[in-house]
Amino acid sequence: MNIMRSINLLVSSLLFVLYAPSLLAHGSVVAEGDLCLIKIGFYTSHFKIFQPLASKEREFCEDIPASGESIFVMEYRHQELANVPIEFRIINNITGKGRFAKLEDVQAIKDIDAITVFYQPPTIEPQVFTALHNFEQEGNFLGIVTVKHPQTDQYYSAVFPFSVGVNSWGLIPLFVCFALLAQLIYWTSSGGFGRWRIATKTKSNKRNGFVIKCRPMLIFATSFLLMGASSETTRAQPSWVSDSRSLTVTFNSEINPLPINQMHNWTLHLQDQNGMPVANALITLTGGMPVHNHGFPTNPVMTQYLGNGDYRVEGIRFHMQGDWVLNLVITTVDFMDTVLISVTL
Amino acid sequence: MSRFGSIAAKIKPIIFVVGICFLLLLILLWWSESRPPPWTQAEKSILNTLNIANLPVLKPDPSNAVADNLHAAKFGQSLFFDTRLSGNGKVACATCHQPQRRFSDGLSKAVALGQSQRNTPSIVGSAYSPWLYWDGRKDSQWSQALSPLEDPAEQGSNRMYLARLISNDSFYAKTYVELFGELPDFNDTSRFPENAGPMSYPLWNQAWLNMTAADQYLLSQVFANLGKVLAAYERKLMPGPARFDEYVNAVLHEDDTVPAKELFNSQEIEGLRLFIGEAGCLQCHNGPLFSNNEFHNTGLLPFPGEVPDQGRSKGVEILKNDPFNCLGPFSDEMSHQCQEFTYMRTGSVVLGSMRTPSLRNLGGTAPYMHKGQLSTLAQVMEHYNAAPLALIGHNEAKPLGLSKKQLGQLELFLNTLDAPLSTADEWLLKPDSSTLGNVTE
Repeated sequence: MNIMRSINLLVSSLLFVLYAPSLLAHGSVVAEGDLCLIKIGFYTSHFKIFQPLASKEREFCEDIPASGESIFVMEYRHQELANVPIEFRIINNITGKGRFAKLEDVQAIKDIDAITVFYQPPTIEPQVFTALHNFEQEGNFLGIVTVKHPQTDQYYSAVFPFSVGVNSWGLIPLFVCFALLAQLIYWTSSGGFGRWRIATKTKSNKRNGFVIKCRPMLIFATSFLLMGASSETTRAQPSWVSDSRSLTVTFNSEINPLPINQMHNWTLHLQDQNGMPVANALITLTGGMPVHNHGFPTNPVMTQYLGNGDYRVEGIRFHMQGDWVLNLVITTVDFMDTVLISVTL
Repeated sequence: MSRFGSIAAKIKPIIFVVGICFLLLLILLWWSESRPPPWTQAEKSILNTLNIANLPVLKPDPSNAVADNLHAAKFGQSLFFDTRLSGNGKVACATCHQPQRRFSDGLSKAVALGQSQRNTPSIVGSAYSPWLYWDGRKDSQWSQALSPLEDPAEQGSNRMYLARLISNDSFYAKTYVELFGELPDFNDTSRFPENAGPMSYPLWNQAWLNMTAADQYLLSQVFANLGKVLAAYERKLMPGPARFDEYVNAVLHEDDTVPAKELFNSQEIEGLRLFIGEAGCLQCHNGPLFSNNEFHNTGLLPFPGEVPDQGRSKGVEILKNDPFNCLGPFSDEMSHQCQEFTYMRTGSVVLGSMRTPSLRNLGGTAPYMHKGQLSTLAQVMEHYNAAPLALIGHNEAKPLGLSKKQLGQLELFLNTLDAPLSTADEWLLKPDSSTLGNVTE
């Protein structure tokens, strides 16, 4: 019986671990490769927050560590954003949904002005969007970016929950609560309460069976470590999903970290939804720096299929620091697909 | 005991000799370390490009017909120091561009009627730059000189008031007529209100909008001419030869009377070597004025309370719509070539970039950078050594990995670029009203 219960707990905690990474990306701001992107309807833009007075040029994706002066920056990926008015609002997150608040929750708020802490009316910013707000208090907030369609009267909004100065323990408190709860259930269900009553009467044998009693806690601790390890490995080798969602692409550069002003080669690895290598595809590459409106200084070419889903790409050179994108068009006899790889140097 | 004593007596002289040799070796090592290697031929030719003796003769400004007219320069000098040109009668050009501070003001951001948006740049040598202001939103000295006059945060005046001031001052009116012909008659108050000017206070702006287009043009013409005489004065402000230039001359002509080593110490020489080499300063700070006059993003943090300054990318847009630009109706450029304006780099490539300032005469012009974010040269050195990520656009500079000692050497070298202006003293003062009109070379 006890063994069955332990297996149950192990499975559920593993499921939790597997589910956790998707919990970490919330709202309209998502991490893609090394970049932080905001999706406003069909528009996408690079998104970053700075606190220059407190942490100089350090970049934050959504949660910021302390109250004080904060600068929101959007560098457009869709050049259409340069021509349309962009409205920006920060409200107190009173939706009760916390990090899972969505546009519907914001639309349900009756008097949005009453909980607005910052508002920047719609303005056209041809190069870059910036906004400054001095957070006087720590807390949980919602950012709302609203943009009009370039031709029609359709409006698109992006909602992203973020915290200011609330300690960035992430999911740890939630995890600890789960573990404690599981321990309590285990303890009561294994007759702990009865034993405790006897123990309080006899005041003996208190330490006996400590390891067994804490088994669920140990399982949680192990799986939490596992979770840390798994997120570490995904960071080491970022992957990109193709536009049709059917391919995953990773790359290996022969020089690491990616060099500036040096010609070098990559190995691309293609796999399908089932994790099987994709063989004999034809890959064409274009790209550049969308933020700076320029392409690659070179014309990289896929030169060879190396087997096992690996492809050699030659002639890659980055000539400056910043955010670069590579557009891959992948063609096989069965399908054609596209992938956008973003890297930051 | 005695035996030990005799051994000690025997080895004493040996220890002494070895010690002396060791000391000599140390001295020799120190001496060879502290003697910088001689400049190579390639380095010498780089040094020569920085020599102020190679500053080309100032080209005429085709957009300003009176740019090199002495009467205009004298007129401009008077205007430059005249506080009546401001809304409250207390602010002149010289309030922020102070001659004793190399024509800057020692503040992070200029303070006049209000606080301006950026750090006051020096005017010295600016006649050589195709672009004015940190964001290059002006393409001539004369056009630049107009903006502060009407900016509510600076001199806060208006072109109607200024035109009337000129016509009511006997010296100004006389010189104006000599240079540009008759002044319009501003006595008809139905046509010419007391105050009027675009883009200033709402009342003045409304008065401006109520004027006919022809009268607006007449006023703008007078206004532009004031800019042109101010520019004629500012063209006279030029940097003089510094200890650096003497050193370069001594290095290039080794038979010169002053040996190079008396002019630069080894630290300054190493600083200069870094400047033209490893530190990469020459990429932007080149030529005799130590500036390429181009626009670069160097990843400076914004001024507290402000979003990052977009710099040149906004400056370009302002310049295109400026009636006082090179192609505008008030420019004297008849061939309408204006190549700098026509072929300027625009768009997001220049996002967050600012004009490279000259490095001559940095002493007394602190704080530095476009918002005066950095208060000492040491901080500037550290900033370029770190080359942090830019908040908007991208930092074109790369981290240098120099040591504290090397940064100190660079700073010592920069101090050798300080020198009195080559401009005659009479141009550096508020002109004596009794000598107005007496023009001398």
